[in-house]
Amino acid sequence: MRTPPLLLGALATASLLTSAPALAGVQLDTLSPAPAWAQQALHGTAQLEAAQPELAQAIAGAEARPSRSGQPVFIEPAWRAPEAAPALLVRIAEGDDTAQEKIGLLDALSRNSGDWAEGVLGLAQHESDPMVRRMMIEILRHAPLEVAEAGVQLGLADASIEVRAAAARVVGSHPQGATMGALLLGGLQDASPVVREESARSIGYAGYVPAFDATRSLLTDTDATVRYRALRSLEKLDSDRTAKLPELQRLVVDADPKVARQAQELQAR
Amino acid sequence: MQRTPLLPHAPRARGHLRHLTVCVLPLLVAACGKDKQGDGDGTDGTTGTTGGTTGVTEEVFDLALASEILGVPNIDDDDENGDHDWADAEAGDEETVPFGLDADALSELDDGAVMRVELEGDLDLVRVWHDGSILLDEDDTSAEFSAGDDLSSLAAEFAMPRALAQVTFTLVDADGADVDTWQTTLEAAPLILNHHLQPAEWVNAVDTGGGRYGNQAFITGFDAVLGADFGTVPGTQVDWDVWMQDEIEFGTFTAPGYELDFVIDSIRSGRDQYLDSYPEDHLFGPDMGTWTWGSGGATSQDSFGNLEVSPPVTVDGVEYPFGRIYYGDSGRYSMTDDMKDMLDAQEVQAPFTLDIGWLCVGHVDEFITMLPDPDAPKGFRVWVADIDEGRSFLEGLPSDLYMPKYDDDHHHATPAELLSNASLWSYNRDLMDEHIEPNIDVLKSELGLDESDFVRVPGIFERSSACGNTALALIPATVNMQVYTGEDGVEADLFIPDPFMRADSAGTSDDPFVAMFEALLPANLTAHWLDDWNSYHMAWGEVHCGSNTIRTPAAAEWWTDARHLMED
Repeated sequence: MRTPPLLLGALATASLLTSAPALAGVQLDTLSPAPAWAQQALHGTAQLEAAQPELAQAIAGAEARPSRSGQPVFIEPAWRAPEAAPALLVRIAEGDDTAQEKIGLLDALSRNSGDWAEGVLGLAQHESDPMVRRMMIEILRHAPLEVAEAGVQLGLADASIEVRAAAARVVGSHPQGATMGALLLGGLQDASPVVREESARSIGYAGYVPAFDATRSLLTDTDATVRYRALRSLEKLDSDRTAKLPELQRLVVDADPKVARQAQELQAR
Repeated sequence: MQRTPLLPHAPRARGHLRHLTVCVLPLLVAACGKDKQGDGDGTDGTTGTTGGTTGVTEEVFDLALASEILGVPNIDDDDENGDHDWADAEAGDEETVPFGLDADALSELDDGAVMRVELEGDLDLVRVWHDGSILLDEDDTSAEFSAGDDLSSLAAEFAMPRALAQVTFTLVDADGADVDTWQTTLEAAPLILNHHLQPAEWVNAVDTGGGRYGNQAFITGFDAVLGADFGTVPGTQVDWDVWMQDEIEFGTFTAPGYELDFVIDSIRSGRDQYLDSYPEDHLFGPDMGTWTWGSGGATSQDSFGNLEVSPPVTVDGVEYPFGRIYYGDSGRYSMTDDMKDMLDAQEVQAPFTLDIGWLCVGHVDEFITMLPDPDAPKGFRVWVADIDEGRSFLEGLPSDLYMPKYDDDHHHATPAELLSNASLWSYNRDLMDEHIEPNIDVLKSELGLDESDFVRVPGIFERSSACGNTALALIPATVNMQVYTGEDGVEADLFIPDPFMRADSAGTSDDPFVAMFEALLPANLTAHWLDDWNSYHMAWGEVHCGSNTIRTPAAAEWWTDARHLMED
């Protein structure tokens, strides 16, 4: 695969500063016991090779194009067809793409209308690169609820902060996120402020009202970003109740101007 | 760096050197000046030197010097040898500025007396030519001339914008005493970047053909309207890098009698990959200069979709006749310091920053543009993506309107699906409250605008998992358009991303978004909807990102209209 360009996104991580090496793949036919999703991916790919060899070949070998931020992307419209999903999964699993390219492939897969969710969840358990693992968890926001829920649980237990944060975001982005809201109670207590912030944000986005008091506890968090996000999320859960919280008296004079301003605006309503 | 005319429609060659009149304000120093030394002490600088000491009288000399010599940097490539003309150091270049004395100015010098000529200031950026050779530069800062020498061929040359130096002529008598002094300032023009009220002359883009990744509809759309004023470079030559806006930024240099088109080459791509070589290979040449500020690892903020200019404004009584530069800065990621320092140093367009840390690509063109409007109080309006307008627009649509593009690529098939996604709206609410409105406040403050100067157009963003969970346009960012302004600076053709908010992708006539948007446009603006969906929108950009425009220099003259913005 072609080396990705040295063009960085606004929030590019430091590891994007250099061209990452190709990642070691997972040979799906060597997994033992062979999971159903792997068998389906291999079978579906064989079917595609027989029925649409050009598409199968394109998926196996296409080079990424530079997105505007430099992140490699795959913008082939034909890849969105459901029958393309197994071949995409196989390339992600077994291909020698770089981490950035795998992220681009996963982004393309997330727009595919086929059945790929269990495969991504399965691959996440074998993926060694945390950036790729993060993206695998991330796109489960488009997965059926049961798979997304399993992905959130898997992600929140990950050693990588980025993966745990991604798991928290799945709850806030999934159409049935409120159903998974309880999973984030642990995220609110995570050692990383990034994970606490994303958990608070997702509770607000998902509208998971039972977590109001747990989120409220973050109003005294040592990290200003977490305090701010908790306040914004509480507004979303119950604006009137939030405006009457006694914690606002301290927050209106918070050392962080963004927190203080938000508290003042809330109090003034 | 050989210029290769591969473009079917090359940018026009502007009448470069209209006349060689040296600037203004003749300073009849010796004969009539009350402070001929220019030392500010109110004396004529010759006190005590008259009489027989030297036999030289001040009436002999009348160095009709201009007080200032203005020029443009000589960083184009008139001889097309691939190097900047300044580096060639050849005499007689079009961008050198004559400021010679009368040929017989030194004819009456006494024996032993000399005229010493000295250069000080930005010695590495300014040089003085005489008689076909370099007279003064960073290596030789002083020269002496005797009676009968001819100083009529003196000429100044500049290497960089805002280069500044002084040339001092000192009359030295036979005993070595300074008798009289005259001084003139040599000053290079500031680099002035273009805004949307300046007439457009030529648009360019990358042509990726009609294949799988092709942008044929995009190219055809431009070509149909602009014809010879539109040019392309094949995608095969630039590694399929379609982001023309981001690689280059056009600007101009002007000085009395001089104009020079200029293109800044971004550091976003390097090592001859992608569009890196495009400016050198296709633009650099006679009357088109180029330069790169900065080096090393780039961030997305070094791309020039993140560098824009407002039309002329007056802010708290201060006139900005060339508008003001604005660019995005996330705090964490920013344009390279060399580039920021250069922009600041030009002074006349007083840059300010907007918050772009929330955007995936992190460019200011992702959410605002500025369009000419003769009925607007300031002659233009800021068009900005607005979440509340986006929601209102969707609520006015048939809830079951099938939108296949959105079904395929954005996980929402109908307005009802979009409207029912509470998480999407919570996210967009945060964007509006935390970023878009504060940016509007900055624009109001920095450009002296109020709410009547804004047009809020429907915008909806999605949180991109592949892009650091930052915002990407879900509805194509219609403000991310190319503006082809007419010669009057008012009429303009707008090349706008097709929003595809309809069931049939074939034409825009039934698209409710198109109808709504065109109803917002003032009569001076004509919309042309371009299909940029696959090659641009799905790759995190839009029409503006994929094209660029050369514009006619602004009519204002910085040496008279913008001196109040420049430090002495």
